[in-house]
Amino acid sequence: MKRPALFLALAVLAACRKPATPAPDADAVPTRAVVAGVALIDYDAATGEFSCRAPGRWKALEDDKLGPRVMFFGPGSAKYPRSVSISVMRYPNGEPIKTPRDLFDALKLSGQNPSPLESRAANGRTEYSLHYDAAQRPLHGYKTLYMKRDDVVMIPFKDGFFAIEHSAPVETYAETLPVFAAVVASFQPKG
Amino acid sequence: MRALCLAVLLLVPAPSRAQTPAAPAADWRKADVSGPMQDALRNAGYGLQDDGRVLDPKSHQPLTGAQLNDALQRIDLTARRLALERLRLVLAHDPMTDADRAAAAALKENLPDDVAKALDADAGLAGLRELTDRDLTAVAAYFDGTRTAAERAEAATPVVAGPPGPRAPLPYFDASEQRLGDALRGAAARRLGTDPVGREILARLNGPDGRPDLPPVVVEPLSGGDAARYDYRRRALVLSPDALISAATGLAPSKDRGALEKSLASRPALIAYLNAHPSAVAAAAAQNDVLLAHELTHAWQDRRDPVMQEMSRGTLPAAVVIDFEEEAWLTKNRYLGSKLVHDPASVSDDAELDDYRNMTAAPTLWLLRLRDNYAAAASNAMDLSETAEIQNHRLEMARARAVTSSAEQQAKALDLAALGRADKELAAASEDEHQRVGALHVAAVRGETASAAALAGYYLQSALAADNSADYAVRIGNAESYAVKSGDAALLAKVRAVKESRK
Repeated sequence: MKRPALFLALAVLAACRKPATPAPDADAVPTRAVVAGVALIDYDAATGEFSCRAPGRWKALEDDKLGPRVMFFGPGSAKYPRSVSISVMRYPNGEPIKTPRDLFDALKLSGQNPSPLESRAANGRTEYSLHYDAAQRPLHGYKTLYMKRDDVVMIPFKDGFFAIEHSAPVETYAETLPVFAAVVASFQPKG
Repeated sequence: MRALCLAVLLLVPAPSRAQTPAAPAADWRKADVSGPMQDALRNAGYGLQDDGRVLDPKSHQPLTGAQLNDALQRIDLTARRLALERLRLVLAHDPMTDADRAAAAALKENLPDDVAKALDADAGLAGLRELTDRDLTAVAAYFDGTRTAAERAEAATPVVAGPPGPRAPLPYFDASEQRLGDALRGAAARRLGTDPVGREILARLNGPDGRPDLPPVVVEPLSGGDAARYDYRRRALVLSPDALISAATGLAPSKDRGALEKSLASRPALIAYLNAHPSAVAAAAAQNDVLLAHELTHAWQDRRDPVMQEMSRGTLPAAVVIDFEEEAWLTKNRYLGSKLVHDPASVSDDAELDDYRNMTAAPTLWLLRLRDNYAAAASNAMDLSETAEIQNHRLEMARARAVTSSAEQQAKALDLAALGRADKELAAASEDEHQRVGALHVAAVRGETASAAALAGYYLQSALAADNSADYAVRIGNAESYAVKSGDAALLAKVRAVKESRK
């Protein structure tokens, strides 16, 4: 029932336009690498605080209202649309979380059962990591739509740290984990 | 060429007007109507019946196939217009980055075919802008052309603040729906009225008689697993059958629950059951009171600021305003925090408490994730500043509209008056909302909303009531963690004494 109306409207709109003549965009940002089928670009934070490789075709949300950070939303899958994201946050951001241990404690306190906080020497620095599972719920409801897994890598810098987080359904998180690893490996704090 | 096209566009709905009453009724179940599209039809006032009929909001008569097509087309074009307007904002960035292109690609599901294809083909910025502006002009012309003089005159008059007046039609199609809606309103008011913050939320909705005048409540399926929503178009609170079935079956003996759930699968059966069982209605209000506090905050926003009614009239872009959502989430957690202090036994260890604990542990991180969730999940979710940018462009388009007759001149003047007034109202509401959300957020960061001591007390009581050792261990552990966090030595000693005595 919906389709004929939609097609009719499209046909009318189509009649109102000239043929499109797409031209290559000279200003497009070049792809630097392709990891797990995802094209990565060089990304410089608008605030100048860090740079990293980032998924060029994922929706980017830059929000400086509550502290400088960026979030990239992947397309997800037909079963779990808009379910994958990689985000960068910086602490402290106005609340008393100043170290990776503080973030671990906050997650533990709120019942999110994080894995033990681990540290490792990687990418020429000390990185901390943890992961936890959480229920994805509707915006205005209680049902568990699916379980998602959050992986967090924390990189100490100056008087706080950056947290890079990968969030995806438990069933599929391994597919985009290499993309997350590439973002972490390329991450460079700046100022 | 363009004038001809617009004329054709405006003729699209015409065949339905010529339908005779003898035309067969449409069946929405057999049509390709997605869940969100069903929501949009209901929000526009249509009654989607279990037998497949779609009832007209005013006449309550079943729609024909052509009439249903018209309604769906209008909803489609509304979504398309907003997607084009948002795309226009992205295309204003020069040069466009891949991140901008990704933002544009995220709008594709609601964009016209030609624009979507041009995006897929990595078309140049100038070409994309031209296509977008051309399609936007055509869609805007559709809405301009279908507005009646009466609608224009109404839109040009200011929205009346306060409780909704007679212009809001009741969203009921039969007496049993209204009876249940009234019972749920009463149960919600009684439940929230037992708590100080709940009473504050209710008092914001006081009517002329000084008593809470809650919005009408309707029971309808909601897409995406939502349990409740506030619908500003009908100025009604919508509850999903799932949320009510859970409350109703929870009161039944466990052996009967499966059969009862099956018997309540149809909406009429559920409504009849709840009308016959006031205890189930009270249980539904009790189980969903935190969510009700959230949705009633939206009802207050709708009465306090003219923004939602301007959206309903079409004089502001119809967005899910993220700033309003932040206020509603912070408010419902204020309510839950108050319940923890005043009546911890009424708090369930459920998804709402999980959310509250997340806010307690890291309020700013919690707020950021909330904002991100809306941005990712709702295609029309945007903050007030983006809404204002789109409104500016609508004003520009209205100013630039060519007129050739005095009737068109008058229509343009009315449209400019309506859009200009709505723009000013949006700016004022934006400033107020920024301060309001800021104050609620600061209160949460300071621990005024979220108290670790209250959570420690709650989990201590809950541990003492546990009927198995596993639950006890988790709860007493939580009580101890929150007691440590609270810095209250006496409370910590009390928790540890209980823990020691149970060893």
